[in-house]
Amino acid sequence: MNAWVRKLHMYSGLLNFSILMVFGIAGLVASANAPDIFQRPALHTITTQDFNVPPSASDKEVVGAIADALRIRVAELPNPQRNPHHQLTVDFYNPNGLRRVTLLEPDHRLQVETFRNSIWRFFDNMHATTLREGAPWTAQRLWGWYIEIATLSMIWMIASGIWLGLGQRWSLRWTQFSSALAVIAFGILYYLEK
Amino acid sequence: MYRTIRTLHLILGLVSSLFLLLYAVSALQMAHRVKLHPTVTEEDISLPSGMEARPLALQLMKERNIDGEFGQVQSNPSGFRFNVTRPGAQWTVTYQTATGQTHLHTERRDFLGMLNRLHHLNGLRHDDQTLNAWGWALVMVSVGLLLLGMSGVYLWFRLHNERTIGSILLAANLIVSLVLIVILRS
Repeated sequence: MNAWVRKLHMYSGLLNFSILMVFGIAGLVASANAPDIFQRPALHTITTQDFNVPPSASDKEVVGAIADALRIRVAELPNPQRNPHHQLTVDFYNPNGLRRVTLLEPDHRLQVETFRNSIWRFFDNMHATTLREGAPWTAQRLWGWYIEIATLSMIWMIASGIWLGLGQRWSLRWTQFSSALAVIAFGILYYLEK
Repeated sequence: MYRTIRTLHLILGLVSSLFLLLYAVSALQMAHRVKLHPTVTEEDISLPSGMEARPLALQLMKERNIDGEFGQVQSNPSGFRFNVTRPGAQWTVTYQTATGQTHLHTERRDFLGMLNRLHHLNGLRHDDQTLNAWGWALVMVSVGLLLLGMSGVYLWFRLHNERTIGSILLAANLIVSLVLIVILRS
């Protein structure tokens, strides 16, 4: 049985290797408080394009039309807002950053303000992508599924790793020391944060 | 070299295990929007009038066993409001400047709520050193995870019998993830 547990532990690791790297990078990005799209966007552009609002459309329907015009596919349309000039604005987030769209209704135009993340914040956003994001069968949804599988695989790898480590290598001082350190460090920090 | 890497993989895995389990379980809670059930208490207190926010917070921290990070102060016509936050609890203080009447809203997180907050806790420059301690733990666990992955690949590669199937799995992983990353970044 241990041979199979080891095999499956190994296969899980290989199948999820790149996502484990993304998780590790995300932890370091968060710790370093890397600048986000509002503090220091890697790219910030403003473009405009023609856009006609159907005269009897609701704000929500307009958001849908904007998404179609910009070819943005999302699982759920974001809620529109009104800026101080009473212009309709809507924010479309994705792992790359933000597209803030302002409807310039009298001019029949859209203003698209793009804030693009650094590669580091991109990885941070990628690690946080869930399977509720992105329209079905888009890259974002597929990545969300991959994250879900990787998270479940990680739980398996932790459980199987503990099983293998404690079961087969308990006699090693390193195993005993590491296990004690894990329990003590986690326990103390959890208690302190509570 | 193989034995050293294998021992390193064992140590890193065991030491990080509970932290990684926390992140994985809380990730599932967030992905599936599992409801959290904090315990909420409300209390009205009389304090001196005309206090400023920070001295008020410090007084409450001393007298009411409140501890955590002092958040942004939001002014309103009758006074102000602020939060004091730590992973296990959040206190919302609403103060009326003219009368000193203070409303204290306390939320104590349940176990999943605690995991959720710890998942989001990061950074090394908090005023509260216990929060910084968790920040350092995150740094070490993140580095540990990167080393676990790389050492794991090395350990697999040294097993000749597993090279074929392992290569297929690793190649599949790299191809799928790189393609998705390139598409999403473009």
